[in-house]
Amino acid sequence: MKTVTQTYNDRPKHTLRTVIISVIVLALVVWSSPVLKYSSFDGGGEIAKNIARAFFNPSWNLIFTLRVDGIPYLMFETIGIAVLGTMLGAILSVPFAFLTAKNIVGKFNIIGNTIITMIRSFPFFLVALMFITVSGPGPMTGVLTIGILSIGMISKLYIEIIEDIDPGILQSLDALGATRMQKIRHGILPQLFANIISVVIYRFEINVKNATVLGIVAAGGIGTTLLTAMNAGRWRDTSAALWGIILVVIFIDYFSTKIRKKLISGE
Amino acid sequence: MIEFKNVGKTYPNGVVALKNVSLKIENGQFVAIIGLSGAGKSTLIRLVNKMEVVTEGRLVAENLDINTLKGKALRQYRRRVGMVFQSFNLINRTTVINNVLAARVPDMDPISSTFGFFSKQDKLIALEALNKVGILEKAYIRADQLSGGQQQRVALARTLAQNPSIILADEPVASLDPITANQIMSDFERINKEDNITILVNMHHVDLALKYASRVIGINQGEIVYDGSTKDITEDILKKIYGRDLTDEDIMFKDK
Ligand SMILES: Nc1ncnc2c1ncn2[C@@H]1O[C@H](COP(=O)(O)OP(=O)(O)OP(=O)(O)O)[C@@H](O)[C@H]1O
Ligand SMILES: [Mg+2]
Repeated sequence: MKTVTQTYNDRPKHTLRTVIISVIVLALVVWSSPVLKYSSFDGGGEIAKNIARAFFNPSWNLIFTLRVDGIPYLMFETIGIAVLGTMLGAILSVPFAFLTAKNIVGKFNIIGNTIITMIRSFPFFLVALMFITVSGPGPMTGVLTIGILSIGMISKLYIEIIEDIDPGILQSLDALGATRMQKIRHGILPQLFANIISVVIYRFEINVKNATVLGIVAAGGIGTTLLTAMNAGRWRDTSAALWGIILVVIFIDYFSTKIRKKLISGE
Repeated sequence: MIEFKNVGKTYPNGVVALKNVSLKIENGQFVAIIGLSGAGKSTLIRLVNKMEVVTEGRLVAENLDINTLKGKALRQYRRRVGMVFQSFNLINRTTVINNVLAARVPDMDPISSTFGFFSKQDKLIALEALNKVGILEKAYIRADQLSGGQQQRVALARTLAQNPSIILADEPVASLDPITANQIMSDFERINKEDNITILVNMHHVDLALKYASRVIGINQGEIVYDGSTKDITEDILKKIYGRDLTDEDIMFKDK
């Protein structure tokens, strides 16, 4: 038997590992720092001051209007892209999730896993630019981009939910004479429902934020207005767009958290 | 009536769980099955509603040959045999009444069942069942907000809502504290007396079995070593069932 002191002295030591990791991190920092030097800060201070001033004095005429280039309409379009994109992703994720859940397909989940991992590795703007060549500039491209990219996260979370299904409930339904269809409808669906809705709302929250920048590559939403206003130095218009985004995101974050809490814990 | 005629059960992996079991259980009896872990108690109970299939001998229940029962006929037979599990098996994130209503699903038409449209009559049956086990006021609360004892009552109500003539219970109180366990056992007792439902219950705890059941079946390594009235049980018989002296483990209420 080893004594406590012996066990302490024989503890696994990671000195070498710590040194190597420290050296690598340090090297990375040194190696990448020139990137900062090349960017120009000329006049940056002046612009920052202008932005700060405009922030509290946005273009009110863009905010209080229902024109198609007004902020309310553009935010409406942005949210619309997020809603449709999230729904598309939520639906497309169902088959992926079922074909990748271990308790359904066992070891054959490699195929689904590979596809999901690939989708997760696609950079956001790259996908948007790809879809622009397919469906042209505009909101449709935004919806497709968000839909496809949502699959990565939504199906991963669906899989966790499906793998968590309590088989005991199915056994109970078996014991009371339910058919296979009835077991799926009244045994599996109610277990999945609250969780799935919660996941979809969570992803919607993220997608609203994604949709605000989609316009930068002309894929619809408020991003285009934001970018052109910024490039032209129209800081009060920029500020109006920012306010639209901030208010909507805060609003959606607040309700999304509330609803999800209610769904999961019933409180 | 349930009748086992020289029933044996060998699992596909070769484990012989039951050997040459012959039993006759009349309608309205309250039977406790006791024995060590691995003795074959769960197997015995699960044969009755064909959650497991008999591999030797014959099993007859409700005038049906259970050996050959399958498909729709099996499902219809299962409507009349309720089952309660140790782990309650409720859907946590839905209301108590929805859990109980699951018992009505097999009797519903496909459209109502698919969309979850339960009739007023079904809802009244579910509430009636909840009332019977004393938790009517919890009907519209989510199942995960109930205590273990209350959850087992919901499971019992779900079984009652299918209007069974037999209830099978596999260690229904094993995960509950002694006081709650006694309350649940009294529920079983009341249901047995008032509705004349046959009850077969597996028990780990000898004292609870002796207190509530009228008949005890003792199993040791897949064989029935005692079958008789609760009144006739002696220390020696218990020793034979358990193959050893009783320990604290076997008794829920330790020396008081
Ligand atoms: N599905 C199964 N496949 C293979 N063997 C099984 C299966 N279920 C039970 N057994 C075996 O059959 C024997 C009897 O098991 P059973 O579950 O009936 O015992 P039990 O008396 O209910 O025990 P416990 O008190 O632990 O629940 C055990 O040896 C067990 O390992
Ligand atoms: Mg058991």
